[in-house]
Amino acid sequence: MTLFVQNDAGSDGTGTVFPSQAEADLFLISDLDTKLGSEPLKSPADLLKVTYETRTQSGFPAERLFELVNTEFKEVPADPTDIIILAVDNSFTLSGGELITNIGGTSLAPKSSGEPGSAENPTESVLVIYDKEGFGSCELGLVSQKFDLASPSSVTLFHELSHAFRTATKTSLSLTEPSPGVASPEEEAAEKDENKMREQLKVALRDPKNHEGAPCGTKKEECCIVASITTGSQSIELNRLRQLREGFLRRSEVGYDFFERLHHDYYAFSPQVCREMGRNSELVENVATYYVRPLKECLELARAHLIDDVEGRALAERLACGIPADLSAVGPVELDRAVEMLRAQLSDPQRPALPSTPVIATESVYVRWALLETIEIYLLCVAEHMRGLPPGELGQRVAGRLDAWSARLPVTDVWGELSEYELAQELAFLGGCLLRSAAARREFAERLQARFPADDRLPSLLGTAGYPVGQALHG
Amino acid sequence: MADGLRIDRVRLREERERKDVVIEVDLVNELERTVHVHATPRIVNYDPSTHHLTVEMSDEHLNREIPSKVLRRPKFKAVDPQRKSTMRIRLPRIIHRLGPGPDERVPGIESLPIHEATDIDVAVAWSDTPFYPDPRDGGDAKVRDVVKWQQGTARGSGRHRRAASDEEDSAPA
Repeated sequence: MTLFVQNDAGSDGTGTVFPSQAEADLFLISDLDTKLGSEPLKSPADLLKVTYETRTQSGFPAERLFELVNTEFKEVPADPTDIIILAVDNSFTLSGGELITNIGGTSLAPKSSGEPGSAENPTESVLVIYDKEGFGSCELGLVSQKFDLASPSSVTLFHELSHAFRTATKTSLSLTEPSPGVASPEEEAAEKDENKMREQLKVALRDPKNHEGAPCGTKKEECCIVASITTGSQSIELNRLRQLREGFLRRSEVGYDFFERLHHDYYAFSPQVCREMGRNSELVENVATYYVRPLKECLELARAHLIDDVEGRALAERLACGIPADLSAVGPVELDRAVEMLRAQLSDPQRPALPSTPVIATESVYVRWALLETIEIYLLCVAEHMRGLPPGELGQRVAGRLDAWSARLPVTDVWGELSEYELAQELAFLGGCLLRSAAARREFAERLQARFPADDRLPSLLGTAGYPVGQALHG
Repeated sequence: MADGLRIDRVRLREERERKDVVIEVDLVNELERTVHVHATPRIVNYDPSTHHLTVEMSDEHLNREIPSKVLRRPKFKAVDPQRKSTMRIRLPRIIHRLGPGPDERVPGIESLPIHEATDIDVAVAWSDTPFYPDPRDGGDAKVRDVVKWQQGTARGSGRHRRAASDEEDSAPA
């Protein structure tokens, strides 16, 4: 047995490595093979041993993973050599201080091997280190020939496992680039393997001749790992969530900042949810029914109402047309129960939010606003539709709930860092695509001013952007 | 005679809500033409015993002889001729650095509380021409080497507000 996941790294405990993320990514690499598992190692106590005794999936990534788990590599020092995976975040540096965010991931040969990366490796194991947060729109697409390609974290991990495999079998190729920006033979081989993982996920392929990346900052591609597992990585649901995020919600500075925070908080619990799903296929169905599809449908409704100005009966008809079959089969009484559980969870994060689903233990205002509140709105509206509420009245209720929700958009510090010009831009953007009703704009303006009481630019900028400030609302 | 880019002041402040620190670097362009600066932190080192933090916005000391997922180009920032501009670098409050573990088999990870830094050194690579894709050999898919682009390195030092006896104190190195 060769492959391990670092559990604690002999450090100060939580927040250093993220074993649940590594397990979730390995699960995706195995093509959701439930025969993949892990068990804690007693000595040293901070490793999880990856187990994969029987393979039921046939793709190349699963085959490679199976080989990595079940081979004793004896070609390099420490006979047999361990391969240890460290899923890390943007706070991680190599021993010389280089931030992992610059390279996305690396594979370091054992320190006495003299192979590439050995000088950075303090151990006699092959270390596979990768940024658990993935990144987006910065690598060269094979078809697009633009730096618009995203890398989910499972793709990054598989790329690094490709290097690790050749290190362990002493078949590494040259790392010398033929010319600046052109992939070395070793990187080209890893990128070809990476593309097999991309094919499995049904995402765009990378140009294996290129190893450069655009400065994509901290943009993340991994829209939602839970949605990837429940509905498939290239499912309609997931693609719509991605489109909504990129095309609607993350265009502005404020939107981008919000998603950075949401992403950070979401990944505090989502790998654990994925791990539970890997052990229980019923959970996968329940999460798809009660979380992923309602979230996608609610965001579609929000876009219809808040951007496309769909109101009243037409909005109710949109709701009725979009109700997923699995939710239709649930019935209004069960939906009422689900809404009650959601509300209980919003007041007590330690309770399961929805029937037979994992606990989303989070007090994050970003997760609650973007995910839990939207699901609650959607389930409430579907239950009312099932009970036969007339479309005109139902449409008004849907619109009212979405307007009220939009006004509760979390106000973050980034507002305080904007120049006057940028503030005006952001207020205009939000007024045009999220805060459509006067009541929503007024409530948001009050919250913004309460958060930044000393900012004397706000009253005039809010007024100019059409936010009712210090005046009674009419109509 | 003006050298090019000068660092006037370096400050570090904490953002507790985001669990970040922000390093503010005041850049002064002494030239009659726009200067372009490297704006991505590449190397972060911290010595907890001396509370000394070093941040490099330069590709000069990167180890490119390791396998990696991608080699990301840095972000750049322009500073107008004869003008001052502040660059803000955001980093996590705690940096985690790979190091030796309890035995030869597993690594350790050292937690470095950079928000406790009292002294900060920064290095910023710059050039009076922008970094641009090399049109040769395949168009915009290829890029020039950032190290070759670099015309100079501006260095500056500062002290964390908490460490200063009365107020912030910083100076170019």
